Amino acid sequence: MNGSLTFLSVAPEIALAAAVVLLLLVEVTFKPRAWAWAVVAGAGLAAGTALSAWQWVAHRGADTGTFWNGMIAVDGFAALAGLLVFPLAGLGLMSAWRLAASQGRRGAEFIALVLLAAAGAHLMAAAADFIMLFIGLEVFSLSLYVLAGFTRERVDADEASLKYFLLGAFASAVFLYGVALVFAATGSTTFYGDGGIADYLAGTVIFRPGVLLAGLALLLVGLAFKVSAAPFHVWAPDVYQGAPGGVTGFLAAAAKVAGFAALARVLTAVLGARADDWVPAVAVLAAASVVVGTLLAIVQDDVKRLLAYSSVAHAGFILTALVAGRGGVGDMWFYLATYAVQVLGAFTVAAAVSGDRAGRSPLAHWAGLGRRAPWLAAAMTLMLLAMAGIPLTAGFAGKVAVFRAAIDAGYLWLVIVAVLATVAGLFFYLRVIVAMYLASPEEGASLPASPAVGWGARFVLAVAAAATLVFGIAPWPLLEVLRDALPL
Amino acid sequence: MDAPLRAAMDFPILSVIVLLPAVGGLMVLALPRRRGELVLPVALALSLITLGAACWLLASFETGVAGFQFEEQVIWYEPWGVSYHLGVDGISLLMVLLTAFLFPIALLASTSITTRVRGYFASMLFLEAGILGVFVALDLLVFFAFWEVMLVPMYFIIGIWGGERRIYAALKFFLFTALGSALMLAGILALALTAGDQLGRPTFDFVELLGVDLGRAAQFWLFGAFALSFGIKVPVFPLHTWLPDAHVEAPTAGSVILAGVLLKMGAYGLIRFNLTLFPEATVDLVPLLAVLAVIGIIYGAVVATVQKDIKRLVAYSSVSHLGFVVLGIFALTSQGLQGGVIQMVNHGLTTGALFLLVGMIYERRHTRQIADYGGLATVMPLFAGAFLFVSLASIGLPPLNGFVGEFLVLLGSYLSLPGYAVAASLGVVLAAVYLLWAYQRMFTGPITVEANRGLADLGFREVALLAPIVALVLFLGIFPKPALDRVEPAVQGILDRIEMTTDYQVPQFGIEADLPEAEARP
Amino acid sequence: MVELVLFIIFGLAALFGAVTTVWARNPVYSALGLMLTLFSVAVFYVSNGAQFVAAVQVIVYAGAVMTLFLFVIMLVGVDRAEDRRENLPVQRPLALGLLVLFGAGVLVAGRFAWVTGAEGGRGAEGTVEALGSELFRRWVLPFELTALLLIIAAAGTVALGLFRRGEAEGGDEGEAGEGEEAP
Repeated sequence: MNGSLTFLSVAPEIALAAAVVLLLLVEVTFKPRAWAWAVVAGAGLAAGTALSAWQWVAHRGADTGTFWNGMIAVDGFAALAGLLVFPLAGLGLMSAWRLAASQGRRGAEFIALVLLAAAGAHLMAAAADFIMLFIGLEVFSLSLYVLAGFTRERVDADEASLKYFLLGAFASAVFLYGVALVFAATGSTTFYGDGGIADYLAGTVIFRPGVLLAGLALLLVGLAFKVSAAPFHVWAPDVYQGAPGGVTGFLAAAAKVAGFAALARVLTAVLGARADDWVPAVAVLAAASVVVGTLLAIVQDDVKRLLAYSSVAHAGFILTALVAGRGGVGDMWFYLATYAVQVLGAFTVAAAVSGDRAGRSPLAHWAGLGRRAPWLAAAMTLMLLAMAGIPLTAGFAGKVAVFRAAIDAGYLWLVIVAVLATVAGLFFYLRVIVAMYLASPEEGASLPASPAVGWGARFVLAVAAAATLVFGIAPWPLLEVLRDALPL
Repeated sequence: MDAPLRAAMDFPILSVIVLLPAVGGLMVLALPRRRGELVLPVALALSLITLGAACWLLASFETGVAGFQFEEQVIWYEPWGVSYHLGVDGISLLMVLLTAFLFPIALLASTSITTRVRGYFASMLFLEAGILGVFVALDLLVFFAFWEVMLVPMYFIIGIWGGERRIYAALKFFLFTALGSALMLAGILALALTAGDQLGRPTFDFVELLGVDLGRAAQFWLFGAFALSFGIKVPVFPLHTWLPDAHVEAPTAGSVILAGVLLKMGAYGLIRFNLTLFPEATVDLVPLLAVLAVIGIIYGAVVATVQKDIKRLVAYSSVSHLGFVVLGIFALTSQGLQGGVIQMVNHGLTTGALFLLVGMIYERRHTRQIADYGGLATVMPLFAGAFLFVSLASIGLPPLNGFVGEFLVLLGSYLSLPGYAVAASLGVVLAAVYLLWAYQRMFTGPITVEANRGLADLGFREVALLAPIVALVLFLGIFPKPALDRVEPAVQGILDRIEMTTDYQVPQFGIEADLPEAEARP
Repeated sequence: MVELVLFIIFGLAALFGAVTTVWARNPVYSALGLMLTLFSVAVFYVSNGAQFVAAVQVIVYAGAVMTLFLFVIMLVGVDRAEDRRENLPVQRPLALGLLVLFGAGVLVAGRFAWVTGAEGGRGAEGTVEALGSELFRRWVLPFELTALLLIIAAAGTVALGLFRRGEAEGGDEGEAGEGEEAP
C-alpha cells in the first residue's frame, strides 16, 4: 500500500469534516455574521472539489486501487462523484442561502449538515466495502433527515422529516440485511482484492445461489429506496413537498447522485459477474419507475409533488442505463449529472415562487409567472423542457444516451416503454409551462409576495441554464470524459 | 465531384440558412423592451436575408444531378456515429424555398399581435430555423433534434397568441406530435445500432444507412415507427384529429406556417426516410397507405363541405389535399412522386394564402362563421377576387399551380393504383364544391349582415402580402418545369433504389406494367 | 451437556419473556419480559463464544434501551389500562394465516441446502481483544468515520431542539442576504 496515498484517498472527506468542525467551533466561539459561514463552507467544498479533481487527473483509469484495507477505492468513478457532489453541494447551499441565513444561529448547523451530506455522498461512491458503504449511506441519509425537517414551524415539515427518517431507516435496515446475506454467501464484505466479493463471484461457480440472490435483491431494494425508484418511491412526494423549499433541490439532487453512484458500483463492479441475475430486475424497476412516476405526476396539482413524481420517472430513466452494465455507467453519469443540475434549478425556482420555507407550491402560485418574473419563468421553462427531453437541452442528450445503452444491451422493450412515458411526461411538464405563460392569476388569489431571488439562487439558475444548454448542444465532450468514470 | 460543387462546399450555405433565423430570434430577444417598434423590422430583415440565401441556393443548385448537394459534414461523436451532416437534393431544395418564402409573409401578417411581441417574433424565427433544419439535415439524430425542438416555439405560438381554446389546441398538437416522434426516436436508435452490427460501428448518417441491409422484419417495425410520426404530421387520415383544432386556434401567421410548411415536414419525411430506408416495407404497405390517403382525400373534403367556420373549412381542406400528396408518394411512380412534391409546394402556397385571407377578414369582423358574411364582393371586390383566385388554384383549375400537382398525382397513381386514382379524383370535385360553395355564401348576392356594409377592402400591406403568392401560383401553374426539373433526379434516385432493393418494377407509360402482380404481392 | 442444559433453561426463559411482553396487561411487565428475553439471548451469545456481542447486548439493549422504554412508559402513565379492542377485525386471522405461511416457508426452505456460499466467517474469537484489534486495524476507517455520525447527531439535535417559533426571521428580508453583500 502506498503510504502517502492512504490519507489522500479520503482527503476530500477530511477536508469537509475539518470545515464542519471549524464552522461549528467558530460559530460557538465568535458568533460571526453569515458571510463567515460561507467562507468556511466554500473553502471546505472547494478543497473537496480540488482534491477530487486531483484524484481524477492522477487516478482515472490507471493507477487505481483500494486503501485502508480495501475500504476506500480511488478510481475515476469515485473522483467523478466528488467532482459532481461537492460543486452540487455548493450550488445547493447558494440556492438555500436565504433559508440558512434566515434561521438565525441555527444557520451554521444547517450548513454543517449540507457539508456532511456531501461527504457522506462521496463516501458512498468511493466505498469499496459494504460496511464502509453503509456508514457513508448513514452519514448522508441522517444529514438529509435533519435538513428535511429543519424549519419546524410547519407540521408538514416535521412530518416530512419523520417520514423520511422512518422509511429511510427501514431502507437502511433492508440494505444491511442484504449485506449480511451477501456476506453469508461470499464470505466477505469487501468488494475488491483477493477474497473480495467480485473476486469470489468471478472465480466460483455457485450451484445454489439462493442466499446470494436474496441478498442481491435486498441490496437492490434498499438502494432503490434511496433513489426513489418505484415501487419504493412513496416517501419522495411527501418529503419533497414537506421539506423547506430552499433545501429541497439539494435533497433531490444529492439523493439521486449518491444513491446511483452506490448502486452503479455495487451492481456493475461488485456483482458484475452475476449480471444475468440483476439486469432483468433492474429493467423491471426501471420500467415500473418511468410508468408509475409519469402517471402519478400527471394528476398532481402541486409543482413540488409533480417534480417529486417526475424524479421517480427520472430514476427509471437512469436505471435504464444500468441495464447495459458497465457499458452504461458513463451514460448513467451523464444523465445523472445533468438531471441533478436541472432538478436543483427547478426547485430553486420553486423556492423563489412559493417561499424558502414553504412546503407546498400549488400550481396557482405559478399562474402568470411569465409576466411577474420573466427570467424565473424562462429558467423554469428551460429546466422543464430539459426534463421532458426536448432536443438542444441536456435532457435530450441524456435520454438518447441511456436509450442507446439500453438498446445496445437488447432491451428495446424497455426503451419503448420509456419513450412512451416521455411523451406522457410532456403532459405534466407542459402544465407548469401553461400555468406560467398561458394562465393568468385568479382574481383575489393570495399569491405569495413577488418572487425575491437572492444572488445565490440567481447564480445557481445561471449555472443550471448554462449547463443544460451547453451539454444539450454539444454533449460529446462530457460524454467522452465520462467514459473514463468507471468503477475499479 | 466536379468543381462548382466543390467550390460551393467551401461556404457552409446550409448552416447559414439554418442559423440566420435563429440569430434573428436572439437579436429580437436582445432588443430593449422600450424599442418595441424595432421588433418587426429586425425579424423581417432576418427572414428576408434567409430568403435571399435560399434564392442563392436555388441559383447555384445543379439541376439534373441526383444525390445531395452543398453537403456539409462534421463528425460530432465518433463512438455514436453522429455527425452534423447537412445537404439538399431537389425535394428538400423546394421545401427550403417554400419555408423561406412563406416566413417573411407570415411575419408581415402578424401586425395584429400586440402582446409579448418580442416573444412572438422570436418564436417565429426559432420556428423557421427548426423547420429549415429539418429539411436539410442528413443525420438522423440531427434531423430528430430539429424535428422535436421546432415543437416548442409552435406550441407557444398556438398556446399564447392563439384563440379561445388555445391551451387545449396547443397541448393536443404537442402531444400528438411528440407521441409519434418518441417512437421515431426509438426507431432511429434501433436503426443506428442495427447498422452498427453490420458496419462495425453505429451510424446515424442517412447516406451511410442507405447501404445497410435491414432485413424484412426490421424494416416493417421501423417503417411503422417512422410512418406513425410522419403520418401524424401530414396528417394521414385517422391521425388527423389534432389538425383542425391547432389550425383554428393558432393565430393567422401560425396557421399559415402550420398548413404551409409544418405539414410538409411529414410528407417530406415519408419520402426521404420511409421510401428510401425501408423499400421492402414500403412496397408491401402501399395498399394500406393508399387506402388511408384516399379516405383522407374524401373524408377531408366531405367534412370541409359541412363546416360552418371558414377557418375550419380550410383546415379540413388541408387533410384532403395532403391525402393527394400521400397518394402520389405511395403510387411509387415517377409522376406520382413528382406530383406529390409539387403538390406540397402548391398546397403550401394556396392554403397559406387562404389562411391569410381568412385572417384578414377575421381581423375586420372577429368572426369566422360563414353565416356572418354574405355579399362581401360588393364592398370588398379586391378581397373577393383574391379569395376566388386562390380558391381556384386550390381546386386545381388550369393554368394555376394546383392543377399541375393534382394532375401529376392522379396520372402517377393511375399507372400503379388505378382504382385509387379514380376514387381520389372525386376529391377534386368535392374541393370545387366546398370552396366555391363557401365563396358563394360569403361573397355573392346581397349583403345580408349590416355590420359587413362598412368593411374596408384590402389595404396596401395586405395586397403586398398576397401579391408574391399570387405571382408564384400563376408562375408554377403556367411554367412548372423549373421545379419539376429539380425534383425529377431526386425522385428517380429514390425509385431506382426501390427497384434495386426489391423486385418492384416502376410502371411507366408505354410499357405494359405488370400491375396486378405489383398489387397482389403479399 | 452443560451447554444443552443452559440452552433449554434460557431458551424457555426467552420464550416466556417474549410471551409476557406481548401478553401482559401492565406495560411495565411487558418491559420486564422483554428484558428477560434480551438477557437470555445474551447468554446464548456467551455460550457461543461471542462475549463481546453478549456484553453489547446487555449494555445497550437490556441497559440503555430498556431504561428508555421504561421512561416512556412512566411518562405516558402506567395506570392507564390498555385498550384491547381491535379496530381492524381482520388482523387476527390475517396474522394467523401469515404465521402459517411463514412456518411453511421455513419448512420448505429447510429442506434445501441452499446455503452454498464461501467458507464460514473468519475465526470464532468474538473476544474483546480480538474485536478491539480488528476494529483498530482492519476496520479503523469505518470506525473513525462513525465520528461523522456523532457530529450529525449533535448538530442535528442542537438545530432541531433549539428551534423557537418566531426566532427565525420572517422569510423575505433574509438578514445578511448573500456572503458578498454582507457589510
